[in-house]
Amino acid sequence: MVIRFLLVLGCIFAFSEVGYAQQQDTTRSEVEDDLEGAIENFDPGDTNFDSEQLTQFLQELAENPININQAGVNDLLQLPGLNLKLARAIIKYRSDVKPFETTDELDEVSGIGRVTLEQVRPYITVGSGLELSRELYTSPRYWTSGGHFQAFSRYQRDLQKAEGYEQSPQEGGYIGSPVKYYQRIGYQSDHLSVNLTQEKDPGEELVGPFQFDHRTWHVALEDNGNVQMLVGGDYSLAFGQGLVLWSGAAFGKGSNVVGAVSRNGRGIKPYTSAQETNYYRGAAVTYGARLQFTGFYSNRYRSASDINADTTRFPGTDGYHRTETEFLQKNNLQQKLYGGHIQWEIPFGIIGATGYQTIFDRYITASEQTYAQYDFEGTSNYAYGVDYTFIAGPAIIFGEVGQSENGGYGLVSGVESSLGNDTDITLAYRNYQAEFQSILGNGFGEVSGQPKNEEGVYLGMRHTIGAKVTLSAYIDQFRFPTARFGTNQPTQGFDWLAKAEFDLTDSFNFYVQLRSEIEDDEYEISDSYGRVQRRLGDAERSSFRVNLEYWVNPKVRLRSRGEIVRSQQAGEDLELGYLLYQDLRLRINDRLRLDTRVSMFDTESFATRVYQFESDLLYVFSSQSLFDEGQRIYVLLNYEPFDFLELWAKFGLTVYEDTQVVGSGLNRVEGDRRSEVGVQARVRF
Amino acid sequence: MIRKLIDIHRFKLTLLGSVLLGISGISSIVQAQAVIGARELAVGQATTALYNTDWSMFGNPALMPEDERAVSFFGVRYFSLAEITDMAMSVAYPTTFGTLGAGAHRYGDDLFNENRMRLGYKHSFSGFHFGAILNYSHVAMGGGYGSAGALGINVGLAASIVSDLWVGAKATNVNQPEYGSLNNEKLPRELSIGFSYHLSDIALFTTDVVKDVQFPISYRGGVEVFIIEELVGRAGFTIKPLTFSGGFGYNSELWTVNIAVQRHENRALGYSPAIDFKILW
Repeated sequence: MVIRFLLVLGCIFAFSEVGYAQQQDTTRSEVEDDLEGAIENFDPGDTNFDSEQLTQFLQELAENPININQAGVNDLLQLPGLNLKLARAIIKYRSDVKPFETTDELDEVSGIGRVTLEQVRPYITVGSGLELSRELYTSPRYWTSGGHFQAFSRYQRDLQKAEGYEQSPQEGGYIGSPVKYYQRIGYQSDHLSVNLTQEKDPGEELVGPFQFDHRTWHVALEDNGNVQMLVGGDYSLAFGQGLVLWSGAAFGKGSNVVGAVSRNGRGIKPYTSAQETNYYRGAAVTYGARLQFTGFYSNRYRSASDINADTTRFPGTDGYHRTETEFLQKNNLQQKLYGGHIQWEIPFGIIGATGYQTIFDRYITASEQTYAQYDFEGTSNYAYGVDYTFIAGPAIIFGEVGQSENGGYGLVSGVESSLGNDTDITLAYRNYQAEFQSILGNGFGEVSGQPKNEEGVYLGMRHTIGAKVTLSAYIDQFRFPTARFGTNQPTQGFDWLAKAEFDLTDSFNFYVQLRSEIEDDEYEISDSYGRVQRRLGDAERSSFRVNLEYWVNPKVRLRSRGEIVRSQQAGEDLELGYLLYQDLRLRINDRLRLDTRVSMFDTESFATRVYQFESDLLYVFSSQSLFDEGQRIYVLLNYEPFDFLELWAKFGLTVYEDTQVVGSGLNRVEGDRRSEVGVQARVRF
Repeated sequence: MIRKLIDIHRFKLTLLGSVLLGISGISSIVQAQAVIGARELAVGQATTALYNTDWSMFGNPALMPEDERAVSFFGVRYFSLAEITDMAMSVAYPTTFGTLGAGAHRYGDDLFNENRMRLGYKHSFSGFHFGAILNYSHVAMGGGYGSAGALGINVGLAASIVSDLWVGAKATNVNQPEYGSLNNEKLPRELSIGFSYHLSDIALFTTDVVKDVQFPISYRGGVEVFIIEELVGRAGFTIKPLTFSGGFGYNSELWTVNIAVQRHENRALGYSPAIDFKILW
């Protein structure tokens, strides 16, 4: 009898283990799909800025899912795909009807359909039912509930030696080794967070175990009664629609066509990322409940190009200190910031106001190029704005208006609504004056980063047909009233995306996606007398993709993709490029997983480059830009020998045809191949 | 792909010309037929998701048979020229721990020949089929020009989404082998993804997209229809290079025979006849 009982128990345990592991793999796939949908922009140069933070944000959210039976409005709003109306509907349902027993029950909530449920599913939980009852602050259990300690160590490098390592630092070469090294150690519970992250990029110097090029740390108290957040150390700030203050991950135009524009400011977030420029250092606090007050003070050093002894350019965003020049400019500029945010939750929405003043210890001067004529110059700047989210029937109306010290203003406003059960729509307008110097903002737009010099209208729609078909599309028209980067005159353009997804069975789905962008661009030609003329022409880039995904069984996922890119740059001929890949994800057993892919790419030039988003070590963002002709293969192993230890290893190799040199400048490598390795260990308990 | 095949055929013709004129002008581009099998040729070489094929040792190793022991023989004579003939043999031996396979292939004559020896393995679980092939390729040129060999690895996978629809993928020479230590001639590397679908009880459609790393992307497709009892008719095409092919097959309980003919886009070259024969034991 006892043996039979144990057997039954064993079986239950074994099945639940399989079920859990499968769910874990599916979640991982869904998080990666979300990342790909959010990040695949035409130019990763634009998105690199916060792609790593976005990767970490989504992966951490999946690892620490939000409890839909307990979370407040602000926490629920962090879920991709959820807006204020849906967040409130969830809270109403769990208090008026009943608590959620499974995540699938979310579709009982009015307004949440299949697509929204699929979007949020990787990031939510219904809790274990064993949540601790209310404890006193003086009890250690209060501070340790839901707590875990984790430590990461990561090592990555390219196997081929680039030009920068061949040259001595005096000749302009890199001062450090080609190794990229990252380590992170931290403790997080429901109410407490402590973290130290350190990183050294390839080419940067590593002086000692605590003298990495980049170091970020914090101590934070979270969700303690009315003290919503109190941080000492490094933190990021994101308020309203990002028009005034937004340092952190933000979704933009992508395959999530309806939720692309409206944002839900995350407020103060303790900073843990290896991104080196996108945070503040000092102290910040948020106090209150329905009426919340936030105050922050920061004083940190930045790196900027020296112009003369008391003047620099605006600090850059890459955070590299690899060459002597870069190294000498490290921390050569001091930036102070103080300000605050007020948020008031009213029955039909949320209203907020943000303001700050920032002061530099050296004069900031802008480039003399035409496109920089309205850029910020001086030693101090302030900006302020008002943001709002209102519920109006089935719709959400959102927006923010801001103004900078010089009088320039910017505004973004939109409406997100369901039209019946199967259709959702977003319509948004933005107008950022060229004079709008919101140097710490990051608003929605064609150009990521500081919102300026752009006016545009965005229309996105999503329609579901039954349980199997989802159609998504957006079109975004934009106009740059004065010269944008690389041009000398006003330009305009538009881009659009159309995607049809078919979930034919639970395990087989495919989608086709078309996207295209046409915008004005300048080009030069020589006339018959040899005089160079600058002209304005259309630059067009389009892509067509077919993607198939099939879970053969709970252990095996196959994915095949073909993509064709068509590009015609201003004044140039039409060119084509394409990508074909086969991907395999294999769960060999509950502790060992393998991801591997073989890709072929063939593009006529850099303009027709193709991108592929890759699985990588946890929290590492990996998107490859492939051009010319060649093949790429990678293998990623994820092994969990013990419950407290998880290991990752990745090897990637790109082989080019008919070339003797890969890359350019200091990153130039002799030969026809580039390969890289990465290993990572995480201890967690 | 188009350039490759043109190059191959051009080379073959050059070789033939050389033989006829007694001049030893030998190009460095040397590649034999990649797809083996008369049925495979007849359905436009779209073999990546073609299950129950006798020539998975030269196609997608994940689709080696799991339930029959068989030995197969194949020959194709390009444009009826005896000097450029492919001959191949393949054996499949299912065991409880997966199917074992072996294959041999020879192309050319004494003046130039390419030989391949293969060992293969496939296995499946819960509908997922996977396989790998270890391939030793050896090229030799007569007249004292020497020879060289290289060891390559091919991998393949396949699964049936529903019983009528199969998906498959294979990658060849994933270890990037090269002939010789002096000129580092790379062996062709290919990625192909394919589907096969039963249009009805008697008709099968199969299609591939194939990318060789050095040549344009190629699309292939074919149909196979049971005409009377065990008599099968087939037709297929490839794009880049543009070829058309057709053929017949007859299956009995213990043996199978297939014939095929392929027409190349270059009309001057004419037709290539092929035959294969399988014995079960």
